Amino acid sequence: MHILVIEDDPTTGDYVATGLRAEGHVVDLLDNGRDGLMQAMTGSYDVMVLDRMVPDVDGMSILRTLRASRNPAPVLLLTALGGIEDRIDGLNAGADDYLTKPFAFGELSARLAALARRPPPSDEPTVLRARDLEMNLLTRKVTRGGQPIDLQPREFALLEHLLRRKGRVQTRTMLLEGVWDIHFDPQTNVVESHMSRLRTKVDKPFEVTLIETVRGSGYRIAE
Amino acid sequence: MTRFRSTPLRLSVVLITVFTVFTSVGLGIAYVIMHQALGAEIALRADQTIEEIRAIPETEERLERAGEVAAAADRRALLIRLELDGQTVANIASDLPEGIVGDDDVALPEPVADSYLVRHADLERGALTVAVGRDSMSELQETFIAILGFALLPALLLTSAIGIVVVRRTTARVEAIRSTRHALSEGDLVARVGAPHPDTDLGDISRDLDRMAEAQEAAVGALRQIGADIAHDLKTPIQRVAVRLEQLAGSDLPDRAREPLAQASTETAQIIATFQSLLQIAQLEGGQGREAFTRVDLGGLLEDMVEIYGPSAEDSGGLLTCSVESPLPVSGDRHLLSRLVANLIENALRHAPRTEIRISLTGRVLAVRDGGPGIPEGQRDHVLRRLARLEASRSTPGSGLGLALVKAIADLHRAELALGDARPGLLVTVTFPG
Repeated sequence: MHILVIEDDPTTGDYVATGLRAEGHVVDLLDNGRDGLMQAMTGSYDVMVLDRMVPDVDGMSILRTLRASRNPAPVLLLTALGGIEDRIDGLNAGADDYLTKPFAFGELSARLAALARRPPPSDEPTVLRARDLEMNLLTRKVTRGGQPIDLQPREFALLEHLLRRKGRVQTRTMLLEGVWDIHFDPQTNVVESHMSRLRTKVDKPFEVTLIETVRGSGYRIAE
Repeated sequence: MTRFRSTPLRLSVVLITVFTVFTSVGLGIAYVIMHQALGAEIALRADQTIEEIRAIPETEERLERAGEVAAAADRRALLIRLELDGQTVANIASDLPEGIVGDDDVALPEPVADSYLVRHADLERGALTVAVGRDSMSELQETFIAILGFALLPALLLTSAIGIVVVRRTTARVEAIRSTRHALSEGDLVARVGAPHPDTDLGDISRDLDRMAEAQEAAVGALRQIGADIAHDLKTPIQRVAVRLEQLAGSDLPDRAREPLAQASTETAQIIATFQSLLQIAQLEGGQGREAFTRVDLGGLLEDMVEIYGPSAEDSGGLLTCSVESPLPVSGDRHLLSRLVANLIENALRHAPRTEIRISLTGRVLAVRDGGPGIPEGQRDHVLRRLARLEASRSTPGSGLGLALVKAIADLHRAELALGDARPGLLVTVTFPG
């Protein structure tokens, strides 16, 4: 992917750029808003990472300018503020996702992958599959190797979330936001508890593990 | 009833009443004075006529003069009857009793005036009766009624009409000022009375209110900017520390370095959580967020949160139960209310692990009961006061600012946070306004 990163702090900028390059992406890193806006308007990017507070032209202004000129590239906004209102402000200005500093690289990487590969909304399958697991979205029945698996509604939602994003890492916070609509960081291992219950039903009785743990990042169902 | 609390309306009513009373009293006094003067004039005329005739010494001349007077007199104004030595000169047939005589009292042969003032005088060998018509008196009454009707009534109607217009206008302005002040106190920083501000005392007040609101908005804006700047200036270095730690964790390290590194990561996460809570509490205390309030079903939200935390509670050897009597729609922010419930649950999980945590919604009261040690009765007020001053449980390490954030969110929703005894354990209640 071709990724534009606008971040004024050199440590964070280098860290993000180095990490993304290590994953095989092409990264342009700019440390001020003026050059950043110019680059964003002229270049063609799959996804952009924008710090909300950068010198010269701030991130929100860059975002509004991009959206006003109908630039469709997905934008992830980085911010020092973590309030709900700040998040809503950012999304209203046209951001596609929002990440509060400080963040772990795994979180950023997983979110960028999700942004760049958003499925077209019209493409609505009725059955989701991974290896021998089948989830029927109409009858809400789940089977693995032909055996029915009885899931609680929220376990179903969690599995559906992972299946729809097959092959992509889902971090704890992405799962909290996507499955439970929770936009803060619980000080309790809620995701781990739900995941262990889901695994007991989906993975434990079977030989092949479907839900992988990605160390330091999150969870994934392999493609 | 509330209309009569309106100052302009009350002032108008008082003014109109005062005007009416003063005009009526003035007219009344004028009427009495003129009435008395007219009465005196009528009496004088009767007395003068009698004296004139009495003054004539000769009988013949007296009769002659009385005849002249009777002939010349308009019977509405004057009746005269002189009996002298068996002769009678009169413009009236019968005798009249003395005093004020009306048609009702005596059958006047030809009643031409409404009433007369009758005077008798005994002469030697005869009697004289003079009656002066009192029509002017009733005319005076009619005149005053006319004055009342043609002058006072229209004036009254006009002042009332003007009063109503003034009341409407000022009431609208007073209402605009009142609702703006209310909106401002509710945290709506952009509320204004709005131009034009008329050159009146109310106009001055609304202009001052708008200026105050602008200053307040600017101050809050500046505060937000400062908050954002501080957040940026502090979080960037924290981010660098987190980056360095993550890079370290990915590199070749001796085993003895692993544990301190993990501890440093945990501490960093704690710093971030505390900082995030402080930032959010500051924003909440500034009243931010109320403009985004919607209808939220608290019952459904509770059930969701219990569903989310249930497995964690069970994994740590406890139990989380929920009983919702009936749905409770409240005006609020769904995410903040989720946070409030989450923090209460996490607080209970931290201080009362391996116990049953019971969450209930009864009427407008959200209650969380745990089976932990609780807080002694004497210290509960103290704890709440500390929460209000952001000193939340700083003595208990690791607990962060969870309850302080609960308090700030409850305050934003005008809900009341209270601590009690769950016998055993802690009872936390949040009572939502009706």
